[in-house]
Amino acid sequence: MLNSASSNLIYIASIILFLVGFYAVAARPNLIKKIIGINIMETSVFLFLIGIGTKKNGAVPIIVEGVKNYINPLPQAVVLMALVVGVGTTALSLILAVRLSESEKEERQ
Amino acid sequence: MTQTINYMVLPVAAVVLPAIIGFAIFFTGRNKKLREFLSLIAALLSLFFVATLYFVLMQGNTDICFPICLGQDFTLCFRADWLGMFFAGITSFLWLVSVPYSLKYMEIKSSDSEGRFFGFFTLSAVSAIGVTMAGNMLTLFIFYELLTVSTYPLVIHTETPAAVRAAKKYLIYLLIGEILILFAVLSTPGFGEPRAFSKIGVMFPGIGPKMLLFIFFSYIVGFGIKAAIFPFSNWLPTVSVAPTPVTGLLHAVAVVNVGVYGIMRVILNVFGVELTRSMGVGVVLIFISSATIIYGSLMALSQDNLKKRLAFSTVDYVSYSILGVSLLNPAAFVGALLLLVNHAFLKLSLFFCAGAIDIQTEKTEVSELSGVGCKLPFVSTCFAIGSLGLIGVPLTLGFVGKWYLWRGPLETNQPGVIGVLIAGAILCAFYLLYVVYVLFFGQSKVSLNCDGKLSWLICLPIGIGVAGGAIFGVFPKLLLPLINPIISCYFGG
Amino acid sequence: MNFVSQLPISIVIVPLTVAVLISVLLSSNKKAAFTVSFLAMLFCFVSALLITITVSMKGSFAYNVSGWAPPWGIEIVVDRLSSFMVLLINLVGLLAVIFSKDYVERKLDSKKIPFYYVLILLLLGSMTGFVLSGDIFNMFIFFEALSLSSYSLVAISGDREALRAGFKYLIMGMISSLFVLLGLGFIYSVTGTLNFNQIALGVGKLSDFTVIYTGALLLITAFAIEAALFPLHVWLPQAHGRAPAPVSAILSGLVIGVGIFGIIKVVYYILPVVYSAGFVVIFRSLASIGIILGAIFALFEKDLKVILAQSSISQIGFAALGVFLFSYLGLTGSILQILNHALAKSALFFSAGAIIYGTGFKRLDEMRGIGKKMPITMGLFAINLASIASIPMTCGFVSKYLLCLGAIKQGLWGLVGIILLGSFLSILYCVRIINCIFFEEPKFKVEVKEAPLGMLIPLGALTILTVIFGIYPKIAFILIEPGVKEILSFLR
Repeated sequence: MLNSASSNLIYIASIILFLVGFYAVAARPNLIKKIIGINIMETSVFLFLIGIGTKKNGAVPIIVEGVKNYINPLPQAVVLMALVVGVGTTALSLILAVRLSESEKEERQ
Repeated sequence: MTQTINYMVLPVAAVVLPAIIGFAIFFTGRNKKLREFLSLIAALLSLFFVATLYFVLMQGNTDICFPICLGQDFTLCFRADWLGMFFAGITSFLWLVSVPYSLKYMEIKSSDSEGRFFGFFTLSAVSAIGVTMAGNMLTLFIFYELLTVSTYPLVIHTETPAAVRAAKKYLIYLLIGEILILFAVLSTPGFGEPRAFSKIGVMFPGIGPKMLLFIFFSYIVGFGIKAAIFPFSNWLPTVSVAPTPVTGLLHAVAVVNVGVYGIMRVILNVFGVELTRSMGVGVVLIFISSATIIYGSLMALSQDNLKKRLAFSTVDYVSYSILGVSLLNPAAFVGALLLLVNHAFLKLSLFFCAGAIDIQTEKTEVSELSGVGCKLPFVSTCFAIGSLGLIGVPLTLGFVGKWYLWRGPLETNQPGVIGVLIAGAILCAFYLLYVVYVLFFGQSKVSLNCDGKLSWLICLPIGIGVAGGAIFGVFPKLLLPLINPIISCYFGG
Repeated sequence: MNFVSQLPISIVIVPLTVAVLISVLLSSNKKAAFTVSFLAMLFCFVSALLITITVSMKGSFAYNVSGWAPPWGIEIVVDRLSSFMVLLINLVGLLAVIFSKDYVERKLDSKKIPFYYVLILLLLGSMTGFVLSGDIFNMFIFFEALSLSSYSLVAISGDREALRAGFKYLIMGMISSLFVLLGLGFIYSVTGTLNFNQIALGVGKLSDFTVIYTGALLLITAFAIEAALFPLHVWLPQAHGRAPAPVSAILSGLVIGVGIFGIIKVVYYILPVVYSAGFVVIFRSLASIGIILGAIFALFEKDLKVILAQSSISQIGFAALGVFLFSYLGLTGSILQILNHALAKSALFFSAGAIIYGTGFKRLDEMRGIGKKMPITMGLFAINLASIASIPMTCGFVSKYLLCLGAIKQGLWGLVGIILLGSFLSILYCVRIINCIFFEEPKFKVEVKEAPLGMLIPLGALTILTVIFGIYPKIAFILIEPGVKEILSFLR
């Protein structure tokens, strides 16, 4: 039991992170906190993807004479791309949040 | 070879060409002359095609069928056979008759969207003809729904709150019917094949008796709503707020006839006489139509509004034809068809009379019509003759039709039906003759402001309608060559 | 053939590149921005036409970007279905760009106009990319690009309601793209590939389906958010209602249809042994609830564009229902419904846009009797409403007819009832709009003129197509039929 928990630690961590993020998105009215929540969720998914690709004692996926046990490079590539996209989305969401709060401020005045 | 292709295209042309003209009418705008011309041409065209098709049929060509395959289970099929052409003939002839009336009527009741009115008027008539030209259930359904859709703007045309309410009621009633029909059509095997209409009906493989009954009654209720059978008949009187040409042509002739036609197709072509008999559903239909006759007559008696009274009378009268079909007896079927012709001609002129009285005196209630008979002698006389024809006094088509209809229950020994027929005739005499009595002998309290001059465009259609009823009454033989092939087709000689 | 084989990549790259070029070079010249984006879309449309013709004659083909074969390289798959979708996207996209010219001129801050075209091109290009992707990862990338540009377009006008709608859409959209990523991980972890064809091959060899089910469900959920299927539709009415009209036309007509396309791909390529699976029932019932609820909400909304948006939820429910029928008729009906919805709903939003352009009216009760003042625009509007209400002789009838027939042939009587009830309700809300627009006396005091030609042309083109596909659906069948059969062959 303990053994399986420890080997699945990365998945358990990503599930917890996902739930934390989801709580922030669903339950917080503050827009910035929502965005932070989304980012936490995003991180958890990245963690999960990297977890899929890892191997025990796996080497860096670069072809070197004599090394046969590689980490799967594809999930890492996916995460790399997703990180880039994530930055863009976060930027856009922050802009929207700022605009929204500005216009609400105008409304109040 | 060219000859064959030529007449195969006729059923399509009879629908498509007038429809194109109908669309053109929308764009006439302020050009009144052009609109009148186009409306007349559309009606003339369709009558021409129907007459030609009749001619072709009489030459012995029974297989005038034009399928247009659009995909798997999706074939539009235009076809002319004796039953369909019978209805197409009534509709296209009376359409032509009512065009001048409606042009004049709408001119008097001036409104600014006449292009819309006549466009949809033409399209409705075309869709009614399209239903009768349909060669399979899918095509029939499509035109059936188009008929509903294109009459909706006509009902709502005056845009008064009453008209809007009536139009909504109309739409909801008919759409529910259409949904039932669509369901039934899709459950019918071979509904979308080119030649789905056969004499013996389609086979229903793998469909249990309960499901079969369900499909049957979906059809009957669906078409019955349009034919205004008893629990679903309330829309018909309500839509009499529409302009008179609409109530006259569409609701007394085209729409309800299409309903009856649908029921006939279902019994004769989809299920077949044999299957219908063995399912034992005839009794239910007889019961429903009898109930409708009594209900319609009683309601007509209690109406003061002339058009509503006539509308309930339509409810009453159309059910005679449904009764005639559901007796599943050749004589009664002849009666049903004769009564349909009779009703179509006479009810059209009665409605047109009501419209003419409305134009001249602006009176719509029966109780206000006292003494109109002296001011408008022609219209009132026509009304009287038409009423007598509907009641079925001898030497009218109504008499001949009812005589045939009586033979049905007499042959099959159904005394209850006879009772209904007698009661129906008496009630019909009461509610129509009362109007005639008021017209001619009522004590006029208020002086009517009317000059008694009616345009010949209004009088001619009324006269033709009444004359048609009278001529066919004296010489019913004129109609029999058109009816006999239908009988021999479905009831075997 | 050699020339055509290069088109699939250029149809994706051209709009994206042009978008970048406009934002760099033409950011202050709105006329040039329009012209360039119009030309780009024209090119895409013509290419899409060529691709579709080639595919329908010679069968599907694949294009490996820069020559790398599938497991490593990016594969663009042009099969019959995706070529059809590409044609649809670029057709409506081209018309939307034409329509935009007059609309944004009046309704958008002139500084924003070039960027508006940038975003439209990004949206259309990434949609094309999404449809043509042969593997899930590229789908994800294009999905993100698509979503980003749609959030921005919803919020572009900058007023508070639009910003709020955009933000709501953004939150939902980000969650949806996370689900794509997550599902992608699950699928990769058992099949070792992200290429659809290879997944389809790999799934058959698996002994345990739990992981692949989870992955597929995550992907379906993600695309269901984009397609606004029932419980995940909450963002749609506001987003589509508040966006500028041509954007609403693209979002409502294309983006949710593309979401359904994504679901089709996942369901037919990835899901193993779907027939017996209990969740099919769940998806069918959710689609049914969406059909009915969307129509009922549309009956009670006041803002014309929000009514149209609610109706989109209902209409796209039909398409989703067809996907989950797993039959030839169901899938054909579903794709025809996507086609019908793309044509009719875009045209409806165009007309709503024409009203807003001419009068500024948004609420239905403001525009009473407007049909008498703008007869051509509103006449076209009415024909498209008829298509949504599935009146015969329009495309909408054909699609719902096929769906209903499919359900009857499978003996799913409950769904038959839902489809019939759904079309009944859709007629009711369409009649409500028609009554208000045509059968009332105009009371407004504003001078109302017919929409300008630049708006009428796209509107008319879409209407003509709706009617052609309604009267002669064989054209659509010829395009769709082989594609549907191709996809159904993946069903295990």
